[in-house]
Amino acid sequence: MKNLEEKILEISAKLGNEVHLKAIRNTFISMLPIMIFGGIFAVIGAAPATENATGFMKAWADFVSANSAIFSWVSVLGLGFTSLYIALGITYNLCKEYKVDPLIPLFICIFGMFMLTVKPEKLVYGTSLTDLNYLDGKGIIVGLFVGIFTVEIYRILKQKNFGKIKLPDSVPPSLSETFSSLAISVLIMLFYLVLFVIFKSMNTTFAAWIASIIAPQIKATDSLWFILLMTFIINAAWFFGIHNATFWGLMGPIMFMNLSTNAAQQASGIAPTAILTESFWVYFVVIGGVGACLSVSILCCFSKSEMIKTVGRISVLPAFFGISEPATFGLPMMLNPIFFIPCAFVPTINACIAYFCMNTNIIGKTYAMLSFNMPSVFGAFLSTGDVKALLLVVALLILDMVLYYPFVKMYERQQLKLENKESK
Amino acid sequence: MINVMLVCNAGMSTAMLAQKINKNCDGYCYVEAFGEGEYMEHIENIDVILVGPQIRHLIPSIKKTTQNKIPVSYINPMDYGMMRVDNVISQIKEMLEG
Repeated sequence: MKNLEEKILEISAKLGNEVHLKAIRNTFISMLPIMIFGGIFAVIGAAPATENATGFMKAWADFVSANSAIFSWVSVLGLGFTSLYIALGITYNLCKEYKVDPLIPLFICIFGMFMLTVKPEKLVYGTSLTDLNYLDGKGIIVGLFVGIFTVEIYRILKQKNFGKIKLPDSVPPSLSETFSSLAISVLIMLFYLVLFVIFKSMNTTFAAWIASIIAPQIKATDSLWFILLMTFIINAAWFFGIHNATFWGLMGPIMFMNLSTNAAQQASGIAPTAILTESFWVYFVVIGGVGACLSVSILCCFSKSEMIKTVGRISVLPAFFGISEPATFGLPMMLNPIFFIPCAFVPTINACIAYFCMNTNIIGKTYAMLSFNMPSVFGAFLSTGDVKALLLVVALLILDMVLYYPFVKMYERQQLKLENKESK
Repeated sequence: MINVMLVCNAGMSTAMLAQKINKNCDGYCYVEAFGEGEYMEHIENIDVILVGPQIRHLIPSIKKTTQNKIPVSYINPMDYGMMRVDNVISQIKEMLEG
């Protein structure tokens, strides 16, 4: 066990300390305000279509349809700009990591993003018509690329003193510094421009081209097998006490892409199609935090063992708000052989059932994300606008308790023996 | 007064512990919690860094960021989960003396 733990810690350290993955991860954390703002509007904008409704429901539906342009616009600038925000976030975080002043790289990043994702339809003085479609989740690969590429090239050329013009000593040094940034910036922007011209000649954009190429791979990630595999890995890692954010460099982009696609579809009145979103993960799979710990905390509250009961009382409220650390470390579940099987498999079973329900349209798919601290029951309802989703989460929670019950009991017997020994 | 920094993934679960320590340490120390993405901007005047056990694999990178000038360790998992403030405070004392 000790060896295995060390191995896993080593791998997580590699994943956790890799600068680009770290920048991506921290970007997703910082996107919370945008996501919640967009999410709230998506929830309000998804008024149930009730033709013979009265009172509040009718007023709500009328309000939304009268102001649909406002809701759509928020949707476009919120989750519809996902890739742009991600590119900016990565640029900023990488600059921080390399201790480079971020302002110029941020400008170049915006320039690059629009060069590679946007196809101008009509550009005359006073009027610009463009298609912003690929700034949403579809352009996420471009977002990752532009963010990383801009900063890496900028930093490397800066280190190599590229474009630094030898000026006489009487010229202030800050001036030659400015010239060096100028030359590097121009070079990077030229690169983006060349890509734009190449793809324009083929009547497309870099983003559209990439999206068409990787479409099959992306589709594959929205399959049951991928979801089950990742659910298992992430929750098994949690058993070793490794935070799930370690994997967010990979999972984050996929989940965000899907969420923004679903949000765009929902905003334009089409039923969302993707399953694996962050809301799916937070509200349906890991109910009460990684390891699906709300069920454990509730069970612990009714334990005969004083110690387990105490953990239950401490951990049940945080778990309700999606924080499973108290239960995981307090009980502890971490590295406790009794809990390995349920910790890894209970969330996997949740994922399996929720996937099935969404795939067969028994419940609606998620199109909004409202912070992982939103209790699952509310989150599931608000992110899908479907009351059946709330019922599903309650059912899953009860199922989780049934599945965890024998393991908690087993641990209780062990603890009771210890407690009896101590009291004697 | 000793300045203690707690670091976890987003600064949420450690924030609960920080609040509890501040209430119960009789002015021995002042504790603040930060996320893994922001802690480096606040390391000035910090005497001890404790990280949540769920990100203990990041300790090497934290040590590098702080240039080994600040003692770094992770909170004992059981004490963290049970929010045993006294034990965490004695862990802080041990780190400062040792």
